[in-house]
Amino acid sequence: MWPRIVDAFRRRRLETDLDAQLAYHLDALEEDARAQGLSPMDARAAARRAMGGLAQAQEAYRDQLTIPAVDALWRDVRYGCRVLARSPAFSVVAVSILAIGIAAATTIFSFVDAVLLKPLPYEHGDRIVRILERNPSGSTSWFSAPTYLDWRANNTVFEPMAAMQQGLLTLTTTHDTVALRVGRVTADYFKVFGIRAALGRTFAEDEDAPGKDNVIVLSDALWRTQFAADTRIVGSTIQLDNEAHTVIGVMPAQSTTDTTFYGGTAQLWKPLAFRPPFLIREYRPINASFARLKPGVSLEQARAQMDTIGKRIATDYPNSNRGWGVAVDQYADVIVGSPLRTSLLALMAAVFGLVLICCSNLASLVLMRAVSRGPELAVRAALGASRPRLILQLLIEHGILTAAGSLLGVAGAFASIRWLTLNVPSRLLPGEASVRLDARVLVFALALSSVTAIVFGLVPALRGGSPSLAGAMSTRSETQSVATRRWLDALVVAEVAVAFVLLCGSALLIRSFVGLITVETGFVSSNVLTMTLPVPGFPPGSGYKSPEEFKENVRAIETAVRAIPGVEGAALTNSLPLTNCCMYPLNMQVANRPVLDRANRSGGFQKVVTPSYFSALRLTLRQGRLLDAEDTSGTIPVIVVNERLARRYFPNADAIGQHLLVPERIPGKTGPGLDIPWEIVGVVANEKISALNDDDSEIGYTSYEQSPVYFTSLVVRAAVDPSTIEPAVRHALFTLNKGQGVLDVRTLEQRKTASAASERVQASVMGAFSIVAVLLAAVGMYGVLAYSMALRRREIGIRSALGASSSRLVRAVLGQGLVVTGIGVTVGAVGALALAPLLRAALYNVRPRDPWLMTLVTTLLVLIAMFASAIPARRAAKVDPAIVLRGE
Amino acid sequence: MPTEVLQGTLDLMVLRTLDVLGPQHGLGLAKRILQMSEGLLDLNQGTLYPALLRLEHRRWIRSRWGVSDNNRKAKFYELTARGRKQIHEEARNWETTVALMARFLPKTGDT
Repeated sequence: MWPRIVDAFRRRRLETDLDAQLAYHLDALEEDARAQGLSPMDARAAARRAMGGLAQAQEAYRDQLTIPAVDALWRDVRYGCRVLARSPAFSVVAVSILAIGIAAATTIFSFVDAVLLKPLPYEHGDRIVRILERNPSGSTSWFSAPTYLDWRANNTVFEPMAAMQQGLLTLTTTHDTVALRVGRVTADYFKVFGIRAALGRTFAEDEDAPGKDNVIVLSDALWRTQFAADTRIVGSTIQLDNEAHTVIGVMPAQSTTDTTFYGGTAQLWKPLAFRPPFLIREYRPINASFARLKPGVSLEQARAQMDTIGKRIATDYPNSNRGWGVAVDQYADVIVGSPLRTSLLALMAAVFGLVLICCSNLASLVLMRAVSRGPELAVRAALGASRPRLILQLLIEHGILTAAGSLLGVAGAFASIRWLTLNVPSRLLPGEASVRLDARVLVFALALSSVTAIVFGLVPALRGGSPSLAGAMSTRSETQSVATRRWLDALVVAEVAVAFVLLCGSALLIRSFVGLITVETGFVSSNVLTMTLPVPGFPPGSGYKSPEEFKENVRAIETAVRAIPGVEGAALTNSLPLTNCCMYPLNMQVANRPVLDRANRSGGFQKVVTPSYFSALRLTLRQGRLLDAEDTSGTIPVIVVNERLARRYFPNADAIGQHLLVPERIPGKTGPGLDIPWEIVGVVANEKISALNDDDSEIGYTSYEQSPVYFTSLVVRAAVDPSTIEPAVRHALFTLNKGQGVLDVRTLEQRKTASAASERVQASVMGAFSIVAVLLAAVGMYGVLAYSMALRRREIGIRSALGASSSRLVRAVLGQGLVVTGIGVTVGAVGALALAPLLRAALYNVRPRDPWLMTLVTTLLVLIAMFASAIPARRAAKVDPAIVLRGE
Repeated sequence: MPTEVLQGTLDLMVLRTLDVLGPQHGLGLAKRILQMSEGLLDLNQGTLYPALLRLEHRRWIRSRWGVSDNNRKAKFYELTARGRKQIHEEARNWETTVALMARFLPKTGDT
């Protein structure tokens, strides 16, 4: 059957083929006849006789070529195209509305699908879990090597299990020094995810033992950028942190499972070997453990067992672990944070609203058209077209529109997905999510367009399927038009309501975003260049012979950078603003208050800085003094705290002069020492710590001189555009120490922008949707009003003939628009009030039910409604009764 | 002249001819069938070409444009693997029909 259907569509060609064959046949017979000695004329006649009827042959052949149903369908399609071409405005508007809806929905779905729906790209990805410690206040925490080893030794639910610690390594080549992000992982790490090396191999069972751990696996990206994709790299030796390492493998592209750190993902991996400095329970440097549930073990069983193990550790080691527990979470849930989930679902809901508006716009277009086409359909019905036949014809027309709209929509989706994947910062999405216009997304688009086609095509088609000739031909089809008008008004109400909800949602998001980027950061972000300077060694600092040598280096860097022309100030810190890297917990208690055991202390973070940090970032001193050069290892330990800390611990008293007990950091030792008292000498205004929306961090600032920690980042305040001094800073650092790597060089403004990136994307996408939604609603309202005006021309004509003033007519039309808008806004307001709290997780400092915003949105919609009804209203005023009444 | 072809028998004739002679154009087929039937079956073109198309739709034969003996463009038909199998099927059907018909007819020489 199939070949026959195919041939039915290339009939013309096959018929030409037949003609050619018959012509050949005829010629050949003619030649034969001539060969037998006939004259040319007689030969031709003989050949014709021998051939028989040509027309019959063609007829019989053609019969074989047609399938009646296909033929009829084809005719209907062609007729449909002609009908649509006759009303180009309708067709273009309908196709564009469809395309907008399908493109928007398909684009958002492709993101939702990639992030939330698709299974992880790992074998049995649903069995992968992440394990962290849970601190007494209930939040998840990094953990110590002994704790990890206890987990691993005592559980029976995971196989395999691995640990990961993010860090930095400095690669030195003959001509270059490059700082690299390294994932230090135990041997089974890649096995947990089931990823094999693309080249060479990953770590062997015993390579995470001290002494065997100088082996390296490269990421695909580093292999390409740093090693020119040279396959001979496997087996060769490279210098990392001044030690020789053997490269044993290269991972495939896009296999990075680590979360972002130091502004990117892991560039290489090294075994995590637990040397003695790590075997201290109070030292919690390990960022995460990943494991695979054994077949048949549920997440709950695993949680229960890890809970038991955690409780035993807490009892056995109260100093470090009392009150601490274990947090086991599905990896798939971990990589998609709650804000991302909320904003994707919000966008999905928004796009659903947009599609609703598109559908109702289309439905009202089709309804209006059905009425204006009434006479045509009625004539066809009167001439004998059956009801199913007419419905089929309408369906085919809508099918053509849907097909065109879907094609355009999918093309639009393809373009917008491409644009978004190129322009949305990749770290906003988990590395596992690959956003593509793939088969799944296409199926979605197809399903969506079929549903739309049915909603906007079939329903009106069924309604308008059996027109009565008498009714349609008469110009007084008031009953039908009144019923249709009610439908249309209902659709406009729905459009206005949905547009209202969308507008409210995007207004909230935009307000939240604006609030975020204009929030008081506590520092002056303009003209500041920042970068991370890795300290070699593992644990960091083990490369220095003494803390004095390290402090000397810190001073030298600061002095050298400050000497650069155009630099106003330079400072070092362990943790840059708007990052949550490298900070030490401020494990403190206020002196002379009831003793807290160390495992249960709170107190935010310790920021270690050079004294010029405050002036370089222009932090505001509220009370007391700042750290200064006089505070050295020989003088009493002093600390500057932020206002939040001061207010929390000294709500009624002066913080200055009080003492905080914080364990001493002993250089070269990972474990904390005894508590020593730090005198609070100053209070500074709150500085944004981990992100722009961080309103919780309590901070104590201490100096490198009194608390040397081996993490250094550089803050440079310039008198000029900060990016222009980057080469000079690099040069100064290189001159000082050829082995000093530099990483993550960004201006503070860039960090600020990055910190609000997801809010920016969300607010702009949502904003775009709501603008389109409002425009579509306005178009819908205009269309319906204009149409009902056209239906009421006669009535208006009579009214104005009877003396109604034109302003009165204008008011009547405007009134209709306003009533519809009013109902729509009311319904929308109820919806917005109900839905807004769902956005809470995505909002910063904005009340989800903001009365001012809703008033603003209402005003905006009413203005747009007035505008949309103004044109039809003017037209109403201009109706000339004489012309209308003569048209009867 | 008995040129009315029994439904179904033309298919078998065409298939067999193509089987024996290899690829043929329409004229060649018609001539060969005329020759084989010793002048009894002069095929009407209105019968032959639709039959060829039908066979093509059943994928028993396929066609392509080629060059004939006298250097003219002509459409050549050839047997497909499926068509080759079909010959046996059709031949069996035909034999069954012949055997069946034989029972209804007087044996030769009976009268």
